[in-house]
Amino acid sequence: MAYNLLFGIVFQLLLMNLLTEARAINHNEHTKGENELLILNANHLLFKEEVNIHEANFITISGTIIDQNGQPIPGATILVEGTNTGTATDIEGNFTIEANEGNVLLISFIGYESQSITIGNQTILNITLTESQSSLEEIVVVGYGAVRKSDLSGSVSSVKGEDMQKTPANTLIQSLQGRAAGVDIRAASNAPGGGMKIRIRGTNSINASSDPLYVIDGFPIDNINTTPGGAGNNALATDPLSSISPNEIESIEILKDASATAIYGARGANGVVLITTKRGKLGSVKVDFDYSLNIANVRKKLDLANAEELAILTNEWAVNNNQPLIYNGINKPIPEDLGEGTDWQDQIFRTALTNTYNLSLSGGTENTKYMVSGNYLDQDGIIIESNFRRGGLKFNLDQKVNNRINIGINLNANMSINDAVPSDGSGFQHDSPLWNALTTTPVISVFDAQGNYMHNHDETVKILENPVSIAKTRTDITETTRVLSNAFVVFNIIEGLDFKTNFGTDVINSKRDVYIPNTAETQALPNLGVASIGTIQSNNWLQEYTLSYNQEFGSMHRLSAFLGYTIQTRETESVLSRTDEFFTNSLKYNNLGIGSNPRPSESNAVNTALLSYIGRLNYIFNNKYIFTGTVRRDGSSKFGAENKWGVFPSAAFAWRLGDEEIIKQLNAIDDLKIRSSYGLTGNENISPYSSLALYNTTRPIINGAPVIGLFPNRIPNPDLKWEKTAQFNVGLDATFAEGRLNFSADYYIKRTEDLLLNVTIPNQSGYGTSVQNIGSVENKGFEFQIGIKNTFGELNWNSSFNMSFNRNKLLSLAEGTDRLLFGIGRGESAHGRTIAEPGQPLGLFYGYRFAGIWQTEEEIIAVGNTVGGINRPGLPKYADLNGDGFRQNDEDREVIGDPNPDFIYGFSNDFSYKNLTLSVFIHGVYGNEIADMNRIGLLAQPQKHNVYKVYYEERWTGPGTSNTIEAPITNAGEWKNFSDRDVLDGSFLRVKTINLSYNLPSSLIGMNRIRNAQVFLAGDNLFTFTDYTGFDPEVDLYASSNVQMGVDNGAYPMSKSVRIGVKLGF
Amino acid sequence: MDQIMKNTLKLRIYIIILIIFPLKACDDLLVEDPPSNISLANFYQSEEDVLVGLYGAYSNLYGLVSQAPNYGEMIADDMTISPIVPDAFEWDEFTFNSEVTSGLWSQCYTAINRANEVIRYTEGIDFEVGRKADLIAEARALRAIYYFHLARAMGGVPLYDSPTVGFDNIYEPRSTEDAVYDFIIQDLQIAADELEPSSPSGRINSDIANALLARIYLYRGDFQNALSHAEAVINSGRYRLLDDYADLFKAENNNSIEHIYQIQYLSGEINNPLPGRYGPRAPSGPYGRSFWAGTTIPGSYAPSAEFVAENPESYRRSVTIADHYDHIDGVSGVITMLEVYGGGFPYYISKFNDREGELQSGVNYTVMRYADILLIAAEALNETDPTDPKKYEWINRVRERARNGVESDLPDLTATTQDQFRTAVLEERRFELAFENQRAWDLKRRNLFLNKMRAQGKNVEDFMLLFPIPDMQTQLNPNLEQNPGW
Repeated sequence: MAYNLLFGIVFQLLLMNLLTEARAINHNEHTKGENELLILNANHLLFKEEVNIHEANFITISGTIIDQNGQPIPGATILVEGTNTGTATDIEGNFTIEANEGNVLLISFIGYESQSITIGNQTILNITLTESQSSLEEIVVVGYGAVRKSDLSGSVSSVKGEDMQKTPANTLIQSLQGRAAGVDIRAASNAPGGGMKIRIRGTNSINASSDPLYVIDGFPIDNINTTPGGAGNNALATDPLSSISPNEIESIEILKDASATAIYGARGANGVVLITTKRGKLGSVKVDFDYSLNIANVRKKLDLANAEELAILTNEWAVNNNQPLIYNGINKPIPEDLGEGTDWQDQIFRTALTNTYNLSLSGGTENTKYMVSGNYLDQDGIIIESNFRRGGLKFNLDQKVNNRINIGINLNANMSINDAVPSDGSGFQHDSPLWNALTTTPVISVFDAQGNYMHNHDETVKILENPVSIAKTRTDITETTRVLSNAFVVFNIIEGLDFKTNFGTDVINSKRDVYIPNTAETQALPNLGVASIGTIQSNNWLQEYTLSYNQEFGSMHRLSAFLGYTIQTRETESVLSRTDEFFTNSLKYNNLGIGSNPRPSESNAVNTALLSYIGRLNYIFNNKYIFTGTVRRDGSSKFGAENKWGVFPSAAFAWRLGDEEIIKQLNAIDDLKIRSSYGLTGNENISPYSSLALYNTTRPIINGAPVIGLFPNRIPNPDLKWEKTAQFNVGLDATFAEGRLNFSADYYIKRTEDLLLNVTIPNQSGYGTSVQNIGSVENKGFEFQIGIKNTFGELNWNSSFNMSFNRNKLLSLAEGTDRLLFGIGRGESAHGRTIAEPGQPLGLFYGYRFAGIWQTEEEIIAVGNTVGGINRPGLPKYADLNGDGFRQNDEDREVIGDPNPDFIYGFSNDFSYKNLTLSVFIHGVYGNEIADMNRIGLLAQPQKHNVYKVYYEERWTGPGTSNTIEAPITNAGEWKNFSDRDVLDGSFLRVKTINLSYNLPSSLIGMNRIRNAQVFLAGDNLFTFTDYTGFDPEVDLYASSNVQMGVDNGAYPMSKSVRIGVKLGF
Repeated sequence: MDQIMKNTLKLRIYIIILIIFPLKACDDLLVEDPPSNISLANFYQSEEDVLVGLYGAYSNLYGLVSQAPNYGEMIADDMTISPIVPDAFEWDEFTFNSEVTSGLWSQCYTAINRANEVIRYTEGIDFEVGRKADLIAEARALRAIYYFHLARAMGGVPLYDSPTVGFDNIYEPRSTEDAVYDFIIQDLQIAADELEPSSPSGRINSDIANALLARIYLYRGDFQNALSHAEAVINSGRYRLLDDYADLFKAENNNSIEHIYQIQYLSGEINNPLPGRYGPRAPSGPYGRSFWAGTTIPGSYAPSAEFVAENPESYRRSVTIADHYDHIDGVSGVITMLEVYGGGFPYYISKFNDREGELQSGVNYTVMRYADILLIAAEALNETDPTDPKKYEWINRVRERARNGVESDLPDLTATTQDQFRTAVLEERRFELAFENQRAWDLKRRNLFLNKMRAQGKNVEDFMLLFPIPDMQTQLNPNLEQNPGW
């Protein structure tokens, strides 16, 4: 870092010198009397156009440009056709320009139809621009820049913040769900602050992360898990973007094909999500405030046996096992006296309130634009005691220093507090309020007569802690502070050529406090209280030096070029302290010293660096033929000494067919563009130091005490390098009916090679596995989007529909490895498997074929089995796949399901009538399957814990009584086999949001101080159509895994909610 | 205008400098130097480093313990699974497949590589020659222990005398069994010659090396060497039998004067997993949440009917097995296993009971104790010089302690034929070292295993005397030949 610091200082000195020089130049130029004009486009690039003052006969024209509502449009451009003369409107929409009589003025502004006006003898021009129906003029942010949508040659989905805000959600990623073709977003955990799983055009990898790269306002953030370690409980999947409020979003662009992503080189293979936050705009000071209240409940409860039913099942089990009745009226009441008992789901679920506040202040003059905003979210989870709070402060400034220099500052600071309950079935000893609410017997109540928590002491040996007690007595709080900031200077060197330097930091501090009181009931291990404090501190530094060049040559050639050099480094440190055995619970985690059994402290430090050279060339000929070439050379510290550097090129070509005469003559198509691209990108998403042999610690006992021992963890692999993805994309964009209908479609083939695979190697080497570049995966797909804008009198209907089909296939693994198996399920249900096999999609479920229930002993004997063990009447029967009788082994397992959807879709509709707008947003997934691991636990062993009600209703009680659910016979869970009975259709169609908003008319507000006022009423997840019987089909227990998908096991359930809110603008 | 041109030019130069300047030295950023991890670059530089590396190799011993009863007892005649475990157990029934040894294979080879690192890298460190030789000898002894575990189970295995540094040498074929044993004996002999006779508990010393050599020579049928190494331990005078047989298995007697080598445990730090598996199990009922009623482990151990029937009445027997227990958690008074098991087989293995430790037992695991050495010496002497009366002295010392003063239970042996003595010493080992994971190996080395097991009605094939090489390993390394039959 010392080097970086030194470099920073030298750089600043040079920069100051540069500024002085620049001032001198400006001064000189002005004394020469030359006139010059700077137009700032959305790209922050500077065009300089000179005006030749020596041509005579010009007249001065002035005027105002307004929109349909009579509001002035600042920043609109006015150009004299065929000359270099041009200007822009000021803050009041006024302009002045000098031109010859007969010249044509071209007036344009982003999002509005351009106009051309021939100059007669008038000197005052008042022009009204109408909003463009076409989206072609939209500016789309791409890597290191922005282009007009019409000039785009790659595949980029653009989602506008204003569209996202029409269907409000608590987190940014939630509000992105279903909005963009080719982007599959699922909730990984529905806990407040919980994470989402995002796959752009499928899963490319097995062991390396397949998460996309996130770039916030140009800052590529490292998507590392910032939840520190803690005692007992596993960290939840967290959302790397949970620190950003959805209200702050200007737009989100999703870069999908190689042409768009190769500019991010070694990090581009999984797609790139560019997040642009709002900035101040030209205009007077605006104050915006909004508030919403969200009232949420669990979307669905599971249908479990009640106390009477469970007692009946328990008695049946006793009879089947030759034991005296348990609910016999002596030790315990008879079943009929028990009734419904305790509904544990009611005990842990609640109506949860979420309050969201946003306040922003923004404005701008030609020289200075600024925005300051604050946001606060206080979200209760639908499980008692879970809560997430976030407060953020954001500031940005764009300042024009002089005609050559612009600077900008972004500052985004926020703090979040996640007060979590164990969930996802992965808590201390696998206990969690949710899982224990499903399994705890309804026979007992929450408290005994003395007011102590009652626990599930089952009829054999299993202990389940009271779910309310888990939620109320255990503590798990994570506080995260994040400051993302950067500052840049853009310096215009000569006409069309800009130099930009950008410095940024992303600082994350996170602290997690965990306390498990000594009253917590845990299995097997005696628990005497556990406290831990974990921290993570991560500093991410970015330096960027870029040159960009934009120029038009005549009317036929447009050229833009970009060159850059960046350095990004990260330092992460983590610490975990833990103490066990507390005599008192009163201090919780606040005094680790008071526990009598301190555990060894742990700490860890990791440094990474990425050096990059970036180049891009765009050439547009005659506004019709668009060529784009990019190349990035990345050096990453994570890779082997022999393979530090990789090159990632891409090329794209687009043809605006719509401008060809032959198409124009059809008069049916407004615009038509075909696009094609090919390129290479990389994935460097593996743990640092993976290529090195490191020594891990062990603590054997020598001489009566633990000593430190070290052992090497792997064979070094100096050849280790990135996964390489080659992607071909062909696409089409079309607009019909004067922009009212637009259509866009893409087809792609992606092939990822050199997978960063944990390869099994001969153990005689002293090592079991090694990370090597072996194997390949293919994703092919088709995606399209249709947009409609229509007007029926005063009713406006805007709708957008997108649909994506992705086909994933594992092509090859390491030689000698014909498949990989992965375990799924946790705790009671840890009996599942998924398989990765060449020729098949990743993540297929692998298990037995359920073939009904054995009805009679004769039936068992008839197929050649002996009666007993797994083959007894009343127990499940599984298909014998290899003809040697059913055995609990691999020969009788096969692929029993596929978690990959056939297609996903999103459908948004906005209907507006006068001041009333109704937005309906539908999202769906079709053809995927879910492994409901809950079923394995909840369809067996009623003597140990509660079961699904269907177990009571459909169980086998004698020959011919049931062919779906076993009799209560088994003791030790020995028959908890994962079979196709546990694999369910996960298709769903969800009305994700319905939002009715009303803009109060100004007459009603009666105050001209208020710019606008809106009230809205919305419903989230109100309707879901699915056959899935678990809590919710949108579930993914293993958020970060590429090979364990669609697994439901005690996940924090989905809620449905009603939201009311108000938006005020001043 | 010239001035402008000049300035512009200057600017451009600056910009070029700005862009070029950082490029040179920044490549250093890509060199990984993990701040919180030891790597080979900063390891094996001092005597302390060697010790830490050595402890890394020691730690694999723990991985051998949890399956030791399966290899040593469960597949043999004295142990079976607890009556309340509902399933048949593959180790008891010889139904295991060829992955059964994968744990042993990986534990041993991981450890061998660690020991090889110590042996290789210690050479290059500059410290006192004697201590350096000691540490290398200790690593060799450890390496020998792991190779012995492999060879005993699977025969000849690939031999490595240096650590793995790249991917080139990871596909070595098997060496012969003799070559592996020569290697083991050479390593242990160096340790026996080089090391001091005493060491901190848990670390290897020359007595331990000698004791292991005695056992290995016995396995090899080299009775002369077995005897001489056993005598070296006996004659050292550093060991004696504890007075009370029951004391051997208690945490307070860890590393006692009888224990020659134990794998070290410390309650709450590293818990011995075995004592919990010998406990009787209560399937349901009034015992609630107790150690005894803890989760049933597939393969919980119980004595076989033959063991119970053939074990002569003695104090030792009463320590070894029991059919009742006293006031378990929450229930006072004597509870018989007959009641608990509802009429099933009413015995459990009681000698390792560690109720104090509950499931966090800190009792050490005994690899070698003095009684074993006495019996090895007696057995070897009976083969080399059957007339030497010292063999009676040695075996009778063990019997005397076992009978605990009740002369009629296990009277002293006198005047047996050589063959009678062979049988007697094997039976003595069976009951003295019961469930200490020696039985199956004793039967195998004496060629009695197949007959014994078939007499118990077990379906055991001739080839099962040797365990399989893990199938996955033969797939990963085509040079690796599977044992016949598997």
